[in-house]
Amino acid sequence: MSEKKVILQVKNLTKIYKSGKTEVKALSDVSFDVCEGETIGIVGESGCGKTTLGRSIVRGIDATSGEVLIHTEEGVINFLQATREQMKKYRRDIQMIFQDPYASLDPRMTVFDIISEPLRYNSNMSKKEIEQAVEQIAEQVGLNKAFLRRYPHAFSGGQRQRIGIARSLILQPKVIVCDEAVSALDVSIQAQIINLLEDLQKEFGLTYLFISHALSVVRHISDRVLVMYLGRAVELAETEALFSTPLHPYTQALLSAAPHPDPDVEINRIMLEGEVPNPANPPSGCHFHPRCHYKTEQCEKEYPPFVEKEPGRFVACWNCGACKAAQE
Amino acid sequence: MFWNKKENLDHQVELSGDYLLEVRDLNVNIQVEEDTLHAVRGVNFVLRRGETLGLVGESGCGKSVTSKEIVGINPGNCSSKGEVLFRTKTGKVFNLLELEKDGVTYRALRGTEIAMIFQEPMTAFSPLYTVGNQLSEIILIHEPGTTKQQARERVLEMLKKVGIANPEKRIDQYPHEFSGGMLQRALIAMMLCCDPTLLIADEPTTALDVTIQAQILELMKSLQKEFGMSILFITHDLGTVASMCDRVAVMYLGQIVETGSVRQIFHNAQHPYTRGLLKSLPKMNQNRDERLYAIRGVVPVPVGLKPSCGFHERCEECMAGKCDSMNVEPVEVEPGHFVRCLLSEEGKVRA
Repeated sequence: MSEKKVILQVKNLTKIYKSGKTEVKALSDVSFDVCEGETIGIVGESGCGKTTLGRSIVRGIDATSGEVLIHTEEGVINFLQATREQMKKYRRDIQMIFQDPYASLDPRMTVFDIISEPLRYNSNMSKKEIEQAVEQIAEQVGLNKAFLRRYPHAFSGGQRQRIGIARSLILQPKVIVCDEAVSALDVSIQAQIINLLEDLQKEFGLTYLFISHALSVVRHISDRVLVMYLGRAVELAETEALFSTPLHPYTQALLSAAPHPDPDVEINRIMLEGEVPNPANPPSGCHFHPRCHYKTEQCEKEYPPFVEKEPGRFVACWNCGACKAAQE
Repeated sequence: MFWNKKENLDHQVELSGDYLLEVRDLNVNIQVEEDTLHAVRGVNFVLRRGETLGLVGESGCGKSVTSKEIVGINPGNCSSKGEVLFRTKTGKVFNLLELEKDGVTYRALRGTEIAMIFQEPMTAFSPLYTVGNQLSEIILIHEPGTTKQQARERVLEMLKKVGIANPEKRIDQYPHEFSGGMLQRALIAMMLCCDPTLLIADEPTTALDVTIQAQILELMKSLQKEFGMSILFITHDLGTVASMCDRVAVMYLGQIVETGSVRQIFHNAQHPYTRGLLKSLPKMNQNRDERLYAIRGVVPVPVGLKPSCGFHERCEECMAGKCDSMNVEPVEVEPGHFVRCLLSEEGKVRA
């Protein structure tokens, strides 16, 4: 990893939502580096802050504190405090594919208009060229060209998601935040889109932040994986290492809960008790301790730091030694 | 019972053996402006007592339309043909398609005999009433004579059964105070209030997180053992099918293309579509550098379909002049394993 060029750095990113007197820390103190051309999978359950993280990075929402540094030809720019001009120039470098294909498309625009909109504002292409580009990308994501003049309501959820993917790919960005980009797609189409994302990555040297709860998909597409729980990063490691020996107890439980498409595979499920706690009132110390099998007294008092426990492996846990030993 | 009161149902039909539900040659057309969508095209399947049948397929394959037809809640632009035979607790057999959708009989069947769990627990509850209110409603409606206090006690008991902690407090809360997993548990509790024999679960865990999904699937399995109900499990997720179902029916373009036991389907899939689906899933033990297998093309729109195998345009083994010009009937390649493919022959399993 070290010889690779860092393209994006997330530093101490924090997002606090306020509602009346309650404060919800949707994201607290998340830091990691992203190298050019790699795919970082971001996994966790709903409410863990993975979508907030993705949106804060593209400035879809304003983070409360922290930095998102993009490395450009002009040097390092804090994207969160970029000027209007810088934004205009660099926004097209970071694009996003959204989670909900029903909410992310304007029902009053035709599919052609939706896909071509970024080009109309960010390029000097002629009408004819735009038409060609849209048709080409539509074909690549598996949309029938004949349907481009229709409105989104005429499409199924899966097809709508492809429209969204086409829209984000058309500006040929450097970094794409894929927020559950394939979760709404059918299995046969999901494989096509994953392959497409991989092909595009090779062709244009794209970098992906692949947010998903589908562990098998994340394992397939990611070079490194970041696991989140209740607004915090709990583990970051290279994919193989993370999936073979998870060091955080939560990662371990999460991996064991994944359904396996084979009736004869007996999975030794670690059943977590209870649910993710309310983020407005997180447990003391390590947020995971009420559900953790390895908890000690220290866990209830202090939040463990997110530190490099093994080369390239960051874990926020006091007892990952015990967690590792239990798997051996 | 309700149905003795009003409607006079003289159309008695036969349902053999231990079948609880039999769907015979079900066709559902949906009228969309000038087009007629053939959403379900000749679906046949049976569901035995106490078994779980997985109905698997991608969006638009007709799995949800099929399940809604059983409950009789398809919208008005759907027209159906065929038979859906259902045996009640008292042993009566109804053809559900012949019942009036809003009639007394059908309404009595829903809830007490046939219950349905939906994908989004958030939208299945009304935000205006407490969870307890909505759960006891089903008891009060279906069992006249029950007092509110009795209903409340039964609801409390059901909430406990589905693993909701502190039910005395939870029963008076509103749906927005529940998390997704808890609400799905409450929905399951609601469905079980009147002890149905058939539970239709339409993507019950799709909206939930994996650790919660594992909990809900375990819960459904244990409740099935306790109550002995049959489950029609509708999903696109092959992973949950493998852990939940006894038998699997794979649907494509409104037809069942392959049926068999869960092992036959997962270890010995015969239809090119089923094989393709299984191959295109990223697996936990697969080499990550391997490119995913992808079925080419997209699902065609089921309008004005010519006689052909529905999958021929996307099939790698398509035989020109055969697959694209004739309808394909299912053949039994091994006991209980049916395949709708011209490459499959009676009694022969392909490697």
